Amino acid sequence: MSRVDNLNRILRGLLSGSPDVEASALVSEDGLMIASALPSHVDEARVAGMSAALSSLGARASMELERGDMQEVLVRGEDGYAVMLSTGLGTLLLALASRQAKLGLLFLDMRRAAEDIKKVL
Amino acid sequence: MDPAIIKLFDRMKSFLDFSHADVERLVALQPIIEKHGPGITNRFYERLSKFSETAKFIEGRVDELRVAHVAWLRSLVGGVYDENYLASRWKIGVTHVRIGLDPYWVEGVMSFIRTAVLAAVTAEMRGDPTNAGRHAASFLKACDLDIFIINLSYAEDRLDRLASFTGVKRSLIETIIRIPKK
Ligand code: HEM
Repeated sequence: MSRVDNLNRILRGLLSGSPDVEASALVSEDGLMIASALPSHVDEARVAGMSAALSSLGARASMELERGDMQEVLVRGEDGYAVMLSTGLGTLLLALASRQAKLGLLFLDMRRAAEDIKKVL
Repeated sequence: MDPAIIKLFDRMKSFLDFSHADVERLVALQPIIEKHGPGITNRFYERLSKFSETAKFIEGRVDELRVAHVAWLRSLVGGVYDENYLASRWKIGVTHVRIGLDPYWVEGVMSFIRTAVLAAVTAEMRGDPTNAGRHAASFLKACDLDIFIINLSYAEDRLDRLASFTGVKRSLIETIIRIPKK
């Protein structure tokens, strides 16, 4: 199995592990899509750019506001959550989840996925 | 200086056909700049003090700034357009970002300089209009090279400030800029 196949499998695993996770993606710090499990209507370039920008800003804000290393960036909208966390090696993991999602569980699943991604990268 | 910028400067000189003959003509303009430079500079500061957008930056320090400006004009016809020259122009851009001056005012001043020096060259070389035209063209190339570097350093410095404040890498900014607008 190729690296991309492996990454896609991990991202899909995040979705199948919880019905509340609606989409996921692995993005480079430069804002380029590496692998994704996103609905077809979504513009991948915009998702990648937005996630990388938010994650960079979150990391800088966490440092600047003396909150230590950033753990994750969480955006809560009326219709659900967007969560970004750094997977190291210049990449970040994005998950989009419904309003009903249990955040603790989501963070845990994302961290596990991030560990698996690190092994593949 | 960043090697990529040095390379870009050299490419731009080639693009403008900035040749040895241009350098010789610029050096030949030195007596005209010596004669007219201080007067042009005075007029330029008068102009800056008449506009509220620029006057606030120079209030109480015109004498000191005039010295810097006459020196700049001299170096424009100094005959050496190397890495140090590039670095000095780069610094001019960065200095003006630091004081919070919008870049188009620097463009405005450059236009003023072009017009004023062309008038001086035409008057001083009126016996030889063809040669005056050639010298003027070389002077315009030098002004264009200067404004190219100043604008580039302006843009780079503004982006660097944004990048370092937000933590957004320059490569990410470039990616975002290429995403089509909605
Ligand atoms: C062709 C356009 C211009 C050129 C070539 C030029 C050149 C220079 C140079 C060589 C310096 C000294 C830089 C240094 O010490 O490192 C300087 C400083 C300065 N210039 Fe200009 N200038 C231009 C346009 C303007 C304009 C439009 C303004 C508007 C008011 C302005 C305001 C100033 C001020 C306030 C400083 C002092 C900055 C400081 O506090 O260090 N300049 N300029």
